[in-house]
Amino acid sequence: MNETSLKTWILWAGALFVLSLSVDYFFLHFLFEDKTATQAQHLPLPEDAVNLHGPPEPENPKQIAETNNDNGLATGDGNFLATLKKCAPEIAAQAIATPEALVEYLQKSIGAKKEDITLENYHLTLPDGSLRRVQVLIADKTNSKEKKELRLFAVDSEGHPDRLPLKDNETLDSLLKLGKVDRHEVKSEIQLQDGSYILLEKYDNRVFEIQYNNRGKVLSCRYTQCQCPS
Amino acid sequence: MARSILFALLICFSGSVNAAVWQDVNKWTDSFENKYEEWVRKSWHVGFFSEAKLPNGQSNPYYKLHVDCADTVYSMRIIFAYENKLPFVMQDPTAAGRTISNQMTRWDQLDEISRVRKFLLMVYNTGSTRSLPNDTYPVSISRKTIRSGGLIATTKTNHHSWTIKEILPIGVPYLVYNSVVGSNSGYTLQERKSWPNPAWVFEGNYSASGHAGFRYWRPAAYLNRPVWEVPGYSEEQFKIPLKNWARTVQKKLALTQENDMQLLERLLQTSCQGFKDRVTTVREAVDFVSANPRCMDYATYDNYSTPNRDNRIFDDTMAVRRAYAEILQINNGKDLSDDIKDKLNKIFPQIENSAASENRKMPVQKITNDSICVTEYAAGRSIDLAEFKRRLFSGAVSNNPLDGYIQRWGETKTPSKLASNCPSWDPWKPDLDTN
Repeated sequence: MNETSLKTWILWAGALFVLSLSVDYFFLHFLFEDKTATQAQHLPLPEDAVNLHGPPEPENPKQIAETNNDNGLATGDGNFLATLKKCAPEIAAQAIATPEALVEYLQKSIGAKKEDITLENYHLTLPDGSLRRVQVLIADKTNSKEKKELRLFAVDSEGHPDRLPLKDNETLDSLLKLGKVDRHEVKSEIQLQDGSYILLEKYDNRVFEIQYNNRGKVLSCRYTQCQCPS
Repeated sequence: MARSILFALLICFSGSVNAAVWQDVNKWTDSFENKYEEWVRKSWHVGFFSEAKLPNGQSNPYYKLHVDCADTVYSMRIIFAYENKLPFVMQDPTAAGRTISNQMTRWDQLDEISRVRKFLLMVYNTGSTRSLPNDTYPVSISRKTIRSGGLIATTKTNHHSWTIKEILPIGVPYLVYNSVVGSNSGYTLQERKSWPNPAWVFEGNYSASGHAGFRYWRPAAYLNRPVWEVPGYSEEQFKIPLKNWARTVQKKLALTQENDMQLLERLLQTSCQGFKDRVTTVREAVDFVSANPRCMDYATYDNYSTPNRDNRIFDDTMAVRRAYAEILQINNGKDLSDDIKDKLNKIFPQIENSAASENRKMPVQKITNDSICVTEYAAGRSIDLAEFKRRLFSGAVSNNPLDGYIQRWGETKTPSKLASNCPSWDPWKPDLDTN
């Protein structure tokens, strides 16, 4: 029996490789069409094109109009004023026009008793172009009610976080010095002097989501789309 | 040889191109949600990560996964999704607007079960009790919405969560969970068939914005969207007076009425379990200090101290007291056996008075025929639940890991020399006045 030549081996390997890719493609795109659609929906978005409404396909034209501006924040007229009137008419009477103005008004007029930042994400670009995310959050694995935990993540080619170990002496400041902060996300909870609460989510210092509990009536807004269930 | 290796490499490579963690060929439908509910009720248990073998004799693929409370919650959903070829998608806690799902291909080179374990570890490393609100929503109060496979979360103040294994016919949750993961803690989860203290669950924010209470998983299409848009979103559970919360919810969920005997036996069982579980935890701390007789840094101290655990045992014991007092007030305990009354009277000798007053006058409790939950906490040292309650309620039981057995179990209130000379954190003392 003649010995098989290297060329033949490579040809066969190449053929099998192409065949397996074809099979993979066939199963993914023909046999499981529904799955392909689902998968497309789950594909990560580019780092600079965050879709804050979840599924890429807006459900209605109104949603299209509200979708991203430069910061990935929703825009649009919304129903902020009408809902504020329903949930907190006494505040709406003060001509409060935006969620930012509402937060400012509440903090000034009622006063903040306590403000807790529950989670922060910093998105960094390092000098070599690689991406990092720094997270500060309330720690779980502790008896403390206040302790914060610092986490550092690399970002893989699909945009998913990959936790990196921290050195003993690393702090938030030292991590932020690793690169340029491209984006800052903050979730906080403000307890006001009258016992009411504001739950706030800000991106780059702009209010993205707010829940204001006005003695049982909860005003909930994502940007200026709001509700006040009775 | 070189040719064979080249061939094998090419074959392997071609087979693993873009391998997802697992291929999801099914969709989450009502039918799969029901299947999930059944699976949790039947297969989700405290030994899920600690038993080397499955009931069918095969190796347990999830053996020795070290989980904290939020990891436990995510694991329940992820493992069912994997085993039923369903998608699992969660909001990426590190970046708003993004998701993490079983479609990620980071571990292409590994076999499927290794990819699943890696994926679980990745979720443990990115998720927390703070990410659970992104992936779940508050539900209305009914057996259709509060069911096996859902969860209870606390506010950020106590950062804890429990999985719901089952809502018992009496309307009480059967919870499987884990607490702080210490360096020496095992892989066995914990369970309880009783309500966590609602004041603790909702501490600091009793409203929808506190993210606490009963929750269920969001459909993938509703991730990264306002929680109030999720079908089934409800604020019903935040409109019940907190004082009557557990009783009101239980009444709505109950299929059968629990009688007075069953109620007290169940609550006693929970309290006893907390007392017994504490033995191992304290022993680990005492052993550690024996081997390392010096002050601790915060992390080590935090790992071995027990303020939250002691708080929960206190809450559970106080729940027994409240229930017993109420029963006596309503019907003078006519449905209770003499036996259980004797046992309860040993634990609560002045049930007609306040807990603070009772505790001031309560004598040392020796082990008698009326003792329950007799436990050996150190070699040759045993007490019953009545004596442990007396010590705990009087503030003698120490949660400081630098103390020895006699302080940890309240034989004396004088701290150990090491505890006196070293820093300590997060103290807890029983609050008898507001309970």
